[in-house]
Amino acid sequence: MGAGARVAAGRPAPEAGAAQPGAGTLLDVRDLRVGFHGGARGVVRAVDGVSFSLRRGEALAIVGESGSGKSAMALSLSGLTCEAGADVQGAVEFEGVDLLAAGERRLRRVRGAGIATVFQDPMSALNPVQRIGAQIAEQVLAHEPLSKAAAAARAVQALRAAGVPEPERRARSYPHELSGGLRQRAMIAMALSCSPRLLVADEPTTALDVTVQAQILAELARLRAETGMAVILVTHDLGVVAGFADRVLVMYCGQIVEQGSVSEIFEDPQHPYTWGLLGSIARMEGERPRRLPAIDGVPPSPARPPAGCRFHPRCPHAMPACKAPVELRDRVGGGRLDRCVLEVERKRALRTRSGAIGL
Amino acid sequence: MRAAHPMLTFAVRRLVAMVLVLFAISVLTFLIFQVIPDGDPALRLAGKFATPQEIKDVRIQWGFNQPIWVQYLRMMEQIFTGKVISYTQQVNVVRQIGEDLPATISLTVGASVLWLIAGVALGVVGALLARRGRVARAADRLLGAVAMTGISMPAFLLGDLLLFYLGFKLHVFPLGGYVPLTEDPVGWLTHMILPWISVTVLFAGFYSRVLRASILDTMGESYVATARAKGISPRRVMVSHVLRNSLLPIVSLWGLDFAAVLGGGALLTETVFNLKGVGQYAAESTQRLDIPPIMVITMLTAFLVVVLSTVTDLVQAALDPRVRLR
Repeated sequence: MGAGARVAAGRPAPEAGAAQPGAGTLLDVRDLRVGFHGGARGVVRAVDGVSFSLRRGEALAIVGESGSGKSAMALSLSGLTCEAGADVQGAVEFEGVDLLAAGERRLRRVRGAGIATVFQDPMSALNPVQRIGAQIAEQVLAHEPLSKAAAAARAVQALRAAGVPEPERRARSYPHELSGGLRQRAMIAMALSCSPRLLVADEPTTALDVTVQAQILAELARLRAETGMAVILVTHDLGVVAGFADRVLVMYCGQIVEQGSVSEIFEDPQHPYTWGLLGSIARMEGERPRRLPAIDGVPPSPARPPAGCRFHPRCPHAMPACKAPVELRDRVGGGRLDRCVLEVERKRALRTRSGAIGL
Repeated sequence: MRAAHPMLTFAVRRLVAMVLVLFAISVLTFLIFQVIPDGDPALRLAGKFATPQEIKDVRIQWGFNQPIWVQYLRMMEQIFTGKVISYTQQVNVVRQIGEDLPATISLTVGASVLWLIAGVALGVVGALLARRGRVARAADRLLGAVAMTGISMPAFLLGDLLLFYLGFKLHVFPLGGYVPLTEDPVGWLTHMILPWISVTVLFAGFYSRVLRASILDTMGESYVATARAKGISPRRVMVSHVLRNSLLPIVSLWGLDFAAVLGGGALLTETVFNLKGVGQYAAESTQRLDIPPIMVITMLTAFLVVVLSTVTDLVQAALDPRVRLR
């Protein structure tokens, strides 16, 4: 059975979450701003006014280029950028409690147990001098009144659940003794060891081989189906989103430029930046371009974002109106949001490139 | 063929390295004293008012007329049989070093513990301050300046200042000298405190800067973010994830510095405080261009450095599973 099939099997229909009675809101982010002190350049706004909410059990993908602020945003949810010296403002309400206003102790109880985080590079995300099992048990002990032996047993159990072969032996291994894929499984095991309600996965497959990427995504999808936890998947690769997420949030230069369900984003994308992202995915069917299309230009520096729509300097369809501030709102109907002033019908004509969507 | 046990390979490699290092350092030291001006030992041995004939007799009697490699081999033989005699005082060098060692061991053990504790404490405080607000960062810079002053303070200046104010003026501590621990423990302690402080100031500043940089590096590591994301206490993040990893370079540093001081490396401090240790013996022998003690002390230091670096490698391997003993 292929990995893709497992993803499809493990994934609940996108509408299922909304239809469930009492599903409720798990996370509500309002006007989140994250600034880093950039020395002479002043404060760099990595995230500039992001709002969204997440239902229990929902899978949300946050997509954007490097430097779009997606990682900074995801890590700020549990206050992890704050400790690195970032200036974080706005509100992050998790299960009704604003984490940005919460004290250190409260935040610690949420970290690991409520919101678990999986980082990009499993090579460096595990402490090199501690055994895998001990690192997982440390998190379990921080949240649950268990004996050391029980926590160690839980660590083995978590490794087994995350698809690590020979979990008893692997729990006694050091990180450098494991392959990249196994380390990422160990990270996932650690993240899931306290049954979190939300898993934030910050580019969990970027540092892995392509074949391992598919396995890890399939594993995440399976675990999500089994545990019913919500997942925020941060990625720069729209290709991994399709089989995994219910909803997609496209970020550009610290802002959301488009938000909608997976089918809306893939079939009827509203923002030219999304077109560009979709156009740069390698396709298996249809006419193949000689070169994979890319979006011209480079992302602007978040220290000095362009006025108006931040994508307009790179957008071939830019008009004078794009230089004025553009609101993120519903322009199509049905609750999806975008930040582009072009008329909807005109967009549908402009984005068609030899039968597919492109910029 | 079956591969040898890694531990055995390691031991053999280190033994071979030790022989090579001792050979190289002894040849080099021996040759240096052959070429320095005014280094002819026969002139010193014969005395100030010796006639050319007396000098010639001394040269033949001590074998200085023989080929240089014969002289070297004879010196090595005498050193390794413990029969080497100093040129200027004509005492057994190995026995003399044996008498001097307790003072140097006292200095090294006490000071190395103190400089490790002080260096680690200052390094941790500096790293913590560096990550805080404006006032804290200013305090960190002040600590850095203090550390730099300590690093660059000459041992003779600091030692003399301590002796002058705390010994001569305030009579808190004795004016130098060494009292054996076995004879008078309290006297031993009062005689050792100022030399310990003096050496500690020298090393702690350097250690604190190395550790501070190492901690700040480690704090940026991804696994520290993982540790924070687990919901464990900041103290636990700091101790079992940050410090545990950033102390690794300090271990190697400490082993080598320990060996250097034990091999008479703190000659200025020993001389200023008149500890009559190996370092002071080295300093005095150098003044007299007395080759045998210099040879023995240099080889002792080289031996200790190789031994201690082997020990720190073993400790490193125990502390860091990624380290392979080779």
